[in-house]
Amino acid sequence: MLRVAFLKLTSCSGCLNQALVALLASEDLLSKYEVVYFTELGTISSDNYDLVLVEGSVSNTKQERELEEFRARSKTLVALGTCAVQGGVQSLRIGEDIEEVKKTVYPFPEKIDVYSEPKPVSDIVKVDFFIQGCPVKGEAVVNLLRKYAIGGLPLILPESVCSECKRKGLTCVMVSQGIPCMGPITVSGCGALCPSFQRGCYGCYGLRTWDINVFKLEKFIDKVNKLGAPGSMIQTALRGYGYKSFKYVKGR
Amino acid sequence: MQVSDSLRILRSRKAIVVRVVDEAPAVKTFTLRIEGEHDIKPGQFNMIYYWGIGEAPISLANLPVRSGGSTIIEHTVRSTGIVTNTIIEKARTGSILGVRGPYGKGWPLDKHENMNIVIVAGGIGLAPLRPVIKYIEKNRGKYRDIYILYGARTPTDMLYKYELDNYFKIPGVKVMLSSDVRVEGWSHYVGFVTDLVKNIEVKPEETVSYVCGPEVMMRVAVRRLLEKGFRKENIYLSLERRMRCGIGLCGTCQFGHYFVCKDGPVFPYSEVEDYLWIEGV
Amino acid sequence: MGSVYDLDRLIRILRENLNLQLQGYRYHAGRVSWGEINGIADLPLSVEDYVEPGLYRLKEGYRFRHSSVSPKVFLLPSEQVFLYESEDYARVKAPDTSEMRQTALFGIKPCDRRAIEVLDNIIGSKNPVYASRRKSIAAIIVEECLEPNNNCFCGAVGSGPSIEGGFDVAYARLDEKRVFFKYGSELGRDILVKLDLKPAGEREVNEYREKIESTRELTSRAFSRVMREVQENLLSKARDKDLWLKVSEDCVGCGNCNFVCPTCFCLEFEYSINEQNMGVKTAQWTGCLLYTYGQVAGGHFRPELYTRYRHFVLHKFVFYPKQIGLIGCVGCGRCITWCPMGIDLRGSVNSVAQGGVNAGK
Repeated sequence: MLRVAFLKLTSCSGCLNQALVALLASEDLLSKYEVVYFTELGTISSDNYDLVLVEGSVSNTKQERELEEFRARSKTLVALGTCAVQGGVQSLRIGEDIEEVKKTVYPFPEKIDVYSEPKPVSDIVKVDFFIQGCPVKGEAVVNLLRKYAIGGLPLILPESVCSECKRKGLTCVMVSQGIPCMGPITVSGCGALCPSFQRGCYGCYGLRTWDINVFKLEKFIDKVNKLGAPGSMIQTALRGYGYKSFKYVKGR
Repeated sequence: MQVSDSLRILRSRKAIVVRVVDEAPAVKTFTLRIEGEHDIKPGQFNMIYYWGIGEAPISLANLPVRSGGSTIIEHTVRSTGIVTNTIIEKARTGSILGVRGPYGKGWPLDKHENMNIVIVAGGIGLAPLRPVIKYIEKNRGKYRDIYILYGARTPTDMLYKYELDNYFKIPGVKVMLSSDVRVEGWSHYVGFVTDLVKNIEVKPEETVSYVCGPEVMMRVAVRRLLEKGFRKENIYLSLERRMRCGIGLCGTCQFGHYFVCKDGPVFPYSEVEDYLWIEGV
Repeated sequence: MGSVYDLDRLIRILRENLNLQLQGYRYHAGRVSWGEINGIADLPLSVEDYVEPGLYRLKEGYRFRHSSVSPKVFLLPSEQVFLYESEDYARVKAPDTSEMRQTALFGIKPCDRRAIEVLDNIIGSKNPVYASRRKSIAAIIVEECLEPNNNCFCGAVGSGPSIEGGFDVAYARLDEKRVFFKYGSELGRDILVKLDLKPAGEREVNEYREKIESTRELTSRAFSRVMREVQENLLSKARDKDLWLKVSEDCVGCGNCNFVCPTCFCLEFEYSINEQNMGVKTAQWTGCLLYTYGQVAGGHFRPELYTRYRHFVLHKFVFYPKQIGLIGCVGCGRCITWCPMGIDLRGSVNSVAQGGVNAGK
């Protein structure tokens, strides 16, 4: 049996729930994996792990230590979901006064120990595999677990959301209805969920870092602006979900 | 009937790993036993399948041997991606790998009987040329002067170190080795393997050259060989591209108008000269 | 000579007398997708596409030309399952295609028909999925367009607007009601005999010819030079990096052009393990505009986007002719319409063919 740990940092538990449900629904995997740690269940085992799936971004030094400890005790560490991979929606607070942010959200802000800029998992420890998504798709986790069980990892196919839209036979909401859509510059993997409900993609899987540079990004933003994209949509896509890749693209 | 098409075209055959040799950092040679015949020629490749993980195009690294009802083949694999990593890390003696092939056009050894052959190999690029050397050794009378020019970044990165000495002993074969980097104890040339082309002494019109290595190295080799007076159609290169199917149906290995998997991977320079110098064509 | 109601009778003959399933452009809930045609109500008879680069609107009208789908979605589906293999390779299974029903393609366009010819030549029997679907096609019914949309340029690549061969029945709508029929094979002749239409009069034949010619004229203006010169210049300018960077400056590498192109056939192989512990070999559409195109383990032969955009253009106009003797672009304009950035292939080709004047415009 492979020993798997589910570690939660700063996040909403959506990815862990997807992962757990997917695991429990796959009989073949239940005979191969043993869940030995799950933050929310409180079942703590301080042994070594084959695989650690980490959800969430890193918000304080205590989490950094925790993450380092798990890394040291695991063979393979996977960043699960946009928060773990990129920093996630928490990144929207970057640039704001952190004390003000705390006051807005919490009744006892002085009890909240977070630094102003959330960090993706890979800023603290080595990450062996990334699964993007907000939340991740259960299928992606199952694919990982099945391949990991035979000693491999999935192949990564970096693509746009448009690829999934077109494979599904959906009609482009941007071209045919003028709906602003971040799909062309967003990482695939969601199965084109929003466009299949006649909505534009808002970039929750993160900005594509390949092929997109500042110049292309500006051209694209100009395009969706002309279609009347609300500023908040672009802000959320770039600075929230895709903060790390946005920084990377801006840096190029 | 269509069902059998799919089986015929994309089915992998079971191959048992009978020997694993460590060649260099992250490079291993796997000896595989396949039931029945597997008629693969030097320069051709197989799609090697790590079951459930993926396939990688790997060229033949030794002449196939028929043994009882089976065929023994060798493939040298370098760990560079998910599939090759898994093969390197997990495949042991007794493991099962999938084999689909043979694919592509190999080195036209039959066409080049009675000629001199200059082999230029860089790094892992010796792997597809090793069966050429073995073939020549077995059929020494069919060919005239042979040069083997082989270089790697460091001597440690060289393949088949345990048998390189034997190449020097094949009659009429001159071997020149190079290391890009100066390393203590290295008695051969220090510099790029392509520099060695100037030292060969053959009549270019009676000589063919087989080149394999990183594409930048092959481009330099082509320049040096052309300077030496080689004909474009007598310089052969083994190219690499993204090969997924091996038979020209997936389209991802296109290089100009060629499908590297079925039109190559071995091309005469005269066929690819329009494309080789253009970045990303 | 007949009316749109004869299309209904034609559908019935194909379905009932010939026992074929019909596949074609299907109008449903405000959009035209690809699917099964069971009657005249499924046809896009009262809609018309208005297009510009990067823009598509379906309006009321009677001249439907294109949507984002093409016969490719039937012949070369976006996701294909090839094989199931057990870990020891002892058990092997391929999807059963024996139940593939005999099919008529209905209402495809002359450019679509050319696209199938291109696919036949480039893929043919190599892909078992394509081969079985192609083999299931027993009849081809073509609709000729008597008025192009803004992005159509079939005339410039010789794939339309009229069809001369490779079909059974072709029809063209002279106006909202009147439909002009012709046959292209023995089967087509038999079908038309069954339809028992009244012969077209000279006036109608002339009207048909005039509209075809005006469409040809309108769709032949795409390129500023003759095709041979276009092709020569594209190849000779292949190494002009600055020019191609300029031409592709709006491209973001989303791949929409590849997916909507009726001749783009590239597939990405994928490997998975299913619940029955069988290794599954599948493939799905990929394209040269996507980042992985040219990527290999440990390297990349086309990391820069301009090289992939250049491959898209060169493949259609230069490499396809070398591979199969046909231009790979059929002039349908889908890549222009469905590019979210509104990049116009015609403009790209002209910029390069003219040597960089007004590059990318």
